Amino acid sequence: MKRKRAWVNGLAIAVGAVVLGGGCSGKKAPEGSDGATEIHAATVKEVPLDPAAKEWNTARELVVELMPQGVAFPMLQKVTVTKLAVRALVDPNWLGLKLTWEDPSQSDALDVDQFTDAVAIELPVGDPDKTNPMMGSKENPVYIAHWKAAWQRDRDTHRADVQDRYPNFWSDGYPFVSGGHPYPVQESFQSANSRRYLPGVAAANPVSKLAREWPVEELHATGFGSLADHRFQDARARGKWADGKWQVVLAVPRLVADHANPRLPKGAKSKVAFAVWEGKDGQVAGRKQWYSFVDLVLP
Amino acid sequence: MAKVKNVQLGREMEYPYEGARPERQIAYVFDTNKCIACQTCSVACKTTWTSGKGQEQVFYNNVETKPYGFYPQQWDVKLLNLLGGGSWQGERYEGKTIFEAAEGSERAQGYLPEQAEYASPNLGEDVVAGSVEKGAFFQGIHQVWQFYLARICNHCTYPGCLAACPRKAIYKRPEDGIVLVDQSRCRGYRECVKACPYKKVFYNMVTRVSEKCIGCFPLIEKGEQPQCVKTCIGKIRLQGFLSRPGEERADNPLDYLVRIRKVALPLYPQYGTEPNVYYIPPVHVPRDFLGQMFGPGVEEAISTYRSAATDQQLLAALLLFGNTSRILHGFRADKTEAVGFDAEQKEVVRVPYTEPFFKRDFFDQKRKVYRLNVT
Repeated sequence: MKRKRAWVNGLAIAVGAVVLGGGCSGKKAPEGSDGATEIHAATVKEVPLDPAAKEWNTARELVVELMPQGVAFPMLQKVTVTKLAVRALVDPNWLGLKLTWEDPSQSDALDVDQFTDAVAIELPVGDPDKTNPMMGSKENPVYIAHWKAAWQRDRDTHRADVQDRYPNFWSDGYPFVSGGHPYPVQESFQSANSRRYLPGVAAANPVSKLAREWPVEELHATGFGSLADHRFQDARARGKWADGKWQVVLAVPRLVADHANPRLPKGAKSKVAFAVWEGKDGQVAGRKQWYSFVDLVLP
Repeated sequence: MAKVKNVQLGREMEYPYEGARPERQIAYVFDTNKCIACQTCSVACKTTWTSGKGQEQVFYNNVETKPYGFYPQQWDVKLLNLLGGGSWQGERYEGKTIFEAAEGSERAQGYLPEQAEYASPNLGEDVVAGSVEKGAFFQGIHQVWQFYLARICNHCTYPGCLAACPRKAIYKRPEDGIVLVDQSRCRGYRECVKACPYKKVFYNMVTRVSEKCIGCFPLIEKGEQPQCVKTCIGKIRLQGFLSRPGEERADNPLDYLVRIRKVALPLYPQYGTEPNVYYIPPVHVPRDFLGQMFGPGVEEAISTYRSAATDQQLLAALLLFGNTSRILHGFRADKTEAVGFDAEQKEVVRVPYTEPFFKRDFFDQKRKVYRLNVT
């Protein structure tokens, strides 16, 4: 297929994004508990990853009303998660954001018809006022930290396997594997030859990783369809589902050598955008509810 | 959307990208009249490409019994229902393609199968279209029907999977038209699984990305036909390359069978992706069923196919199926044999129109034994 046309289409969409995303047609102002419309991070000694940590109560909560993503294909036609509550904390090294939303179902399995709950934050890497909130642009890219419930489950238990979905699934064996049935992917597929039969793993696709230290992926984007993972993964995260609610903490380093990361020194003013995916409803990729840039004030 | 020429629909249609036909298009002809559903192709493909964990229900190649076999279940019936029907005016299709029927939020009309629909690859196997009346078995040919439909990725000219991928992780090779999922770029969104009208892109729950038939491109690059073609014991398959429309060569077996003699037809051309696996329709199946499946050329294709015994050029092309592992770029009908040539015009296969017949004595004088088979 000709790329030129795709580029032209992409440009048209990007222009649309500026109109719709930057202007945020239908975007309602965020509501802070004290009437604030920006996120003020509170200072703590150490940003806790535990969403239940009492330090989070020291930060003001801002609630944003999510909108369906309706600019790039595939789109979401109707939101199923309406509101996202945000609190921010900082310590000398980390910016932490606690994100809370109501979700009656915990979706953390992956299969052809099973999608994961997820949340992401997006920060400008360059000039916040010139950055397109919908995946950035070549001139002004964006940084994204993307947490997934499926990765949280991997970390809390073990890397999800075929037998987790289908306990009685039998296979006589797989090429070049070691061990015996049920041939766990993290144990039996150690050799390079066995991994040739896991194509995504063999191709070093970050989505296919068999082991992940944190349930979050750092990415950058320069427009729609350009999402790419960082060579160095610095972010941390922890999520917990209880009582029909997800609480997820995303922690981003304030200053790292990685040029693809935002620089968030003391006194910085930046912006942050949000996206939420409801796995139960098959939401993935552009099928998401989102909220455009909110001002972020860092002590 | 761009306007592109779909030669199978006899008209222009909408597609997310501008048309860019490859230099030559990988294409296959499958003769449904010869398939016995032995599944040798399925096994050859499976053992070569999809024997890893997470690929247990991934069949780049499958053979299903029509009308009641499907993989995944109901795949074609479901999409036909979604599209809501259409009609052919001569060779022009008047209904909506998957791209033209797409809702505003998507690039292509489609559906995502449930996992359970992949769980029974042979459900419906050998089930016939009706019941056989009592005693009919003993009264000659009975009137119920079924046939075997071998299926692989169609390496479409306008792939639905490629159109739907928001990451452009799917691409069509300009040198041969093979459609591939970039395994390092895919993020497992499954938009391609949803959009492929033939359901030939699969999600791998272990690698968490999608995969599809790769057209055995390492073999293609060596001038050899794919595994499913080479291993077919019924010799129902021929793989080669189609020339661009208007540039057909009568000595190219694919051009000759598909575009010149039109004896082989695309599967569900009304979907609009211009698929490149072409089927010689089964001669015994009701024409309305075949018309829905293969388009308006069914009657002509069957009539042409039935003339092969007295049509030496056509017979020569058909006899090349399954008789060489090399990709045939040219062929010739000699007086007594069909001759096939590779890309360098080097002769690589010679097939007699009539198999030589040998009859041996019942008793082998040399070994002093009786033969069980004398022909």
